[in-house]
Amino acid sequence: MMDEQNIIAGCLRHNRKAQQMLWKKYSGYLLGICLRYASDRPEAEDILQEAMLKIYFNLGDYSGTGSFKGWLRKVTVNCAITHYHKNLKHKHHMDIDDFVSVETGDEGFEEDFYSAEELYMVLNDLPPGYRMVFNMYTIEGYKHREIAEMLNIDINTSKSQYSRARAILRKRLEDLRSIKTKYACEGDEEQ
Amino acid sequence: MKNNKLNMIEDLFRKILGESEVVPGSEVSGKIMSSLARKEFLRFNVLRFNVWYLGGIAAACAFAGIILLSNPGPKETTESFSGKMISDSSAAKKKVDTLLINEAVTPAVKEEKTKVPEGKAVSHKPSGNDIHTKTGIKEGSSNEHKGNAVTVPVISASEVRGGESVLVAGIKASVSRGCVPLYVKFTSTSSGEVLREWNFGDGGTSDLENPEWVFDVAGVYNVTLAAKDATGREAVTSHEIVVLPKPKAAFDLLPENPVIPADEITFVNQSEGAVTYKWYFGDNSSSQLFAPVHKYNKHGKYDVSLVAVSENGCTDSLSVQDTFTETECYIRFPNAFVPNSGGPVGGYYSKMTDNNNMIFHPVYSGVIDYNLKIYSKQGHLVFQSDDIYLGWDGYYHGQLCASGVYVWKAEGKFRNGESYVVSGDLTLVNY
Repeated sequence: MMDEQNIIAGCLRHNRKAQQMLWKKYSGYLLGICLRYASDRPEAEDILQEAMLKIYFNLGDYSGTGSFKGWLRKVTVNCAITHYHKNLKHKHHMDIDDFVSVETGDEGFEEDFYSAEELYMVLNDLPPGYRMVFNMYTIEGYKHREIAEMLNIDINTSKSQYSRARAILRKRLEDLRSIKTKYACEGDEEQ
Repeated sequence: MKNNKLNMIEDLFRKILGESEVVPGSEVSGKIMSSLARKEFLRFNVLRFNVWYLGGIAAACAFAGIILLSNPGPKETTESFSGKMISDSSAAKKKVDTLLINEAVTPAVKEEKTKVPEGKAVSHKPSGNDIHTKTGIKEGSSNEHKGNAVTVPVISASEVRGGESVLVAGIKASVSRGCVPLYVKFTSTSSGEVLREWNFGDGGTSDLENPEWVFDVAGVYNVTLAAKDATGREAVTSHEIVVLPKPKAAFDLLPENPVIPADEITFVNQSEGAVTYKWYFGDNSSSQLFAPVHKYNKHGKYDVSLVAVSENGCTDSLSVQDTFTETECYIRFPNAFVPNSGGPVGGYYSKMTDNNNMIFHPVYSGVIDYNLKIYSKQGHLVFQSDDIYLGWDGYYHGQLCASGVYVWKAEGKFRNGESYVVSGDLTLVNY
């Protein structure tokens, strides 16, 4: 296996083998990111494709300092943002339900209870704008000020979208928990 | 309270999705790789066949086509002759009768008595003279018989009566046009001279009657021969030699160290000055593509040759014997080491930095896949590494391990496709 340095050097020379290694090594990680920003898997794969091409052709911009994975993530998130802007006009409508479902649950969420697939599913169902803000704030760790700048929205919009996203997610996760618990109990009864 | 719960949502997502990986389907890989290949094709890259090369080839082909249509190509064995004749001339009233046979400008010599020198000139010509040369002479003689005085200088009788022989300088070359390095045999067809001075136009000179010369730089050379007779008269003639440039055949392999027969090998053409190519892959197959891709059926020794031909028909070839044989593949481990007692040193080593034998690591060549596991005698896994650059520094969770014998096992793959599994023991020496 080639190590990271070799892969980067190889890709800078546009060596086909190194490009394939880069893909092999990091595509899973990057698709994991894209999937958080997309409404569904095909869209995530579109973003991934744009991101990979950017990565292959702009690898020279990677300074070498700092984590390579971090750089890959940054490029991918930027691609997701570009993709979001590009598709904004098709997606600006949203369900009225999403606005009103702000209610507080009374329990925390156990880490082991939810699978990655379920969390992706819940995220994918969010309105795109909420999803962007939630991802960028929670997982990528951007500040609201930065998010507002990158998404070209008002800082207060970012904050309010974030809190709404959080509320929707909480409700969905609680629903999911009650469904799962119910099925788990039914399963117990059958045994 | 409320904050706690909200944070928990964020923690949940951060923990589960922050580093999660989703393996993309193979059709996505294919799609991305093909769009990458498309983009690479449009981008200039010295090492890879791309649209620029394609354009270059198209242009070269078009150019070669034009050249071939307009020019039937060089004749490498053309014999030619050029000569200049000076008749008898005393210093004050000399009249020069010049016989420029090649150019047929002034076919010469009028009076009956001057037939002698002309006859001489003809007799010096070898039978291999080309037609053009002969025509020139015929014109000369026919002019003579018609007495067509307009273009022909006449030599006065007194001069002929001077009684001295005629001085003629003439050059015959075995080849007038050819590829570098061009070996040419010159023959002097002069008569009446005692001294010769050849100047080959590239700085070389000779005083032999029939010198041989090798032109090793492409170019057009004006070879001159100055013939002198005993009375100090001098006749000079020249002859043009065209030395055509030679292409340079060169190629590279992609991947650099291919695995035979698993890899498809791209032969990257790095030839210069050539328009057509012929590849011989050493397995009785050949190709005329610019940069062919070839796959061998079985492991073996192959000699790959490339013949590059320029638009002039000059060729160069490069043959690489045993093209795919690589350096030996091996991996060997020491059986003892002395960890740094002052604290862990990491495990990354280089030949320069590990003079003190503080890190347990292999010496190796041609390793592409590697896994090392080290166990204590009790069977605890104390170290493992997938990185051949990362050896063991003798520490386990920050604690220096006890002196004694440990057991290691390494497995992986060599570049030539062979797998290896080696194991042994090592003694950790701890002062």
